[in-house]
Amino acid sequence: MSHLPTSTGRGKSTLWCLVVLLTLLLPASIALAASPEEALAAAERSFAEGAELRADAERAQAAFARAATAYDELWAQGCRTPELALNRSRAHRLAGSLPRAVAALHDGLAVARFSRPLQVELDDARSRVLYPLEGELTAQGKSVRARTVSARMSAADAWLVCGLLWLLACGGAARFVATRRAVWLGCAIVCLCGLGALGVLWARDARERERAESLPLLVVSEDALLRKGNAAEYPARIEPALPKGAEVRELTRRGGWVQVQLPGGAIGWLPGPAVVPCGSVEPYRAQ
Amino acid sequence: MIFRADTLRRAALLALVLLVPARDPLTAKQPAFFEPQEHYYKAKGKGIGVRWVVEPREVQVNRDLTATLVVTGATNPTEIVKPDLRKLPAFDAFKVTNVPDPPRTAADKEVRFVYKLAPRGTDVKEVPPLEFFYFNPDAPPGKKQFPSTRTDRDEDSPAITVREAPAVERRVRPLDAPEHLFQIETGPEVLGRGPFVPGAGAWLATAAAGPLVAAGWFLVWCRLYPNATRLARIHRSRAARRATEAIRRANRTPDPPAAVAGAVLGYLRARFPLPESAVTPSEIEIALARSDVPAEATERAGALFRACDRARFAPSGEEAALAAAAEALVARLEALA
Repeated sequence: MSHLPTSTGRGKSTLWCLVVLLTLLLPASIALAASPEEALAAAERSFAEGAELRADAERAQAAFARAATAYDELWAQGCRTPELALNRSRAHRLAGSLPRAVAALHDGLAVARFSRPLQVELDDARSRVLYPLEGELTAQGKSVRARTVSARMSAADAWLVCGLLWLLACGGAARFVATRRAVWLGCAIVCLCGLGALGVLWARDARERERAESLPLLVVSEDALLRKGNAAEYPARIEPALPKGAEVRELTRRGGWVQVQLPGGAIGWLPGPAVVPCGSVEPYRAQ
Repeated sequence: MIFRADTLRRAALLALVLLVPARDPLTAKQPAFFEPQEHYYKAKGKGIGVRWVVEPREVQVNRDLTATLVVTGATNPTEIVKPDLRKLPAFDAFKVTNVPDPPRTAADKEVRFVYKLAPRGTDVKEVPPLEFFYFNPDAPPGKKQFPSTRTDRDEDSPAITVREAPAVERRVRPLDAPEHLFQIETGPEVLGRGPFVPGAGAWLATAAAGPLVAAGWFLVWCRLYPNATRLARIHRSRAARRATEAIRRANRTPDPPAAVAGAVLGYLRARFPLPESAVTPSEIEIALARSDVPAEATERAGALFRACDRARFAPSGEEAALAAAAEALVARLEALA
């Protein structure tokens, strides 16, 4: 009887070949991909180059655009820190794209809502949006900064404060049990009241955020007229056109148009290409 | 009547001569066999000359110059076809644009064909010579009826000078932006892990730590301060608590010994069935003894009241010890409970 090669024998040899191939290719692929540190260094070099060329706006903006693209790639890779968001925003703004700068700031605030530098930067960027001095558009379109507990205190800070208050309350209660003095009981009650107040504020803030941020945030990337329908033939909902950098909430999309809601509550339609979604990390191409 | 063959032949010949119209030898159709396939533009004449007239002679790359092809000596000025320079490979170095020509009449001595030529590079040195075949009706039939001439036979060569286009000066303007935008964050925190967000485990640990820490502190405190424990038991007694507080406040009263004595007496009346008539130290001792209070406690109580009386009426500087002794007495009596 002759020994025929079995199917399991062939399968094993194929599997070994695949393992060897992967072992050879994987280090090469890893070596080709730039590490985050290298990408950050490249971004910082481009930014520094742009700063040196600031006397020539055209060349400087090209350098800042390269830096913005590198920062966007880092963000897309998962490096989500307030510092990176700030750098990303500044690079976009110096490259001439205020809408993308605003979107980058919102991306950073989604990670660290309490970050004071990001809040200040967003206020400054919003001040550059060219709203008319007065009128319905200004009343409807201007965004205001959220002044809630989560905008002033980080989750870690709240955890520390709550822990301290809870510890003081428990300590006060223990001291009252030991000495039967009313002052310690009062101290424990005050701490518990503070704890309760903080909890109520956080719960209310979470409810408001859930309601306000349930709709995706968009930033207008070019001056666009808010229309009553999803076509250019429809009349304007508000005049003049929404300036680039304005922030709106997306309601729905249809036929290349986006139905949006302004901060003031007005609803209308904008062309799809005229808005940039927050959280988008498409590479920025300098115009 | 029968016609003879020769008669019929003569009649046919005569008919041919009469019917075929006479033709001008000058307009006689050229034999197509010798007609050139290229560079022949239907010009006719005995001696035709062609030349270029170029204006201007100096031009920038991709800028137009006007080249006029002047044909002289043609006898059919209105029939000459304008050469299409775009089809001539020699003119690939130019971008050729046809320009409307001036109107021609049969009496014109020369024909002008106007072009706009834009040199594509600086290596262009002249307008290329143009081969120009024409028909000479006086020449014997054959190839010699189509002589040629060229534009470069003229002494005045259409040389041109092509310059590079000057570099367009870009208007440089500075980048207008607030100064703070040019500063970026650097350091390891840029690529850090982001802000710390405590999870459910951290919150649970914090919630459990409070009572645990308080309980641990309480146990340690009891171990370190045992007398205080007894005092704490004393304080559970309301009367004892009030007496102790009154004793401690005695220093702030005008008559501290009287306040101490009053506090202790109030405690004794609240804890033991002391009659209202028992006000002197001896009466108090007797009342306490009847309440089965140990003798040493009774004596201490009597001694305290006597000391208070002495301090009230004959101060001797021992008032500070009265409060401590009163507290100790209250603690001792409370321990009996």
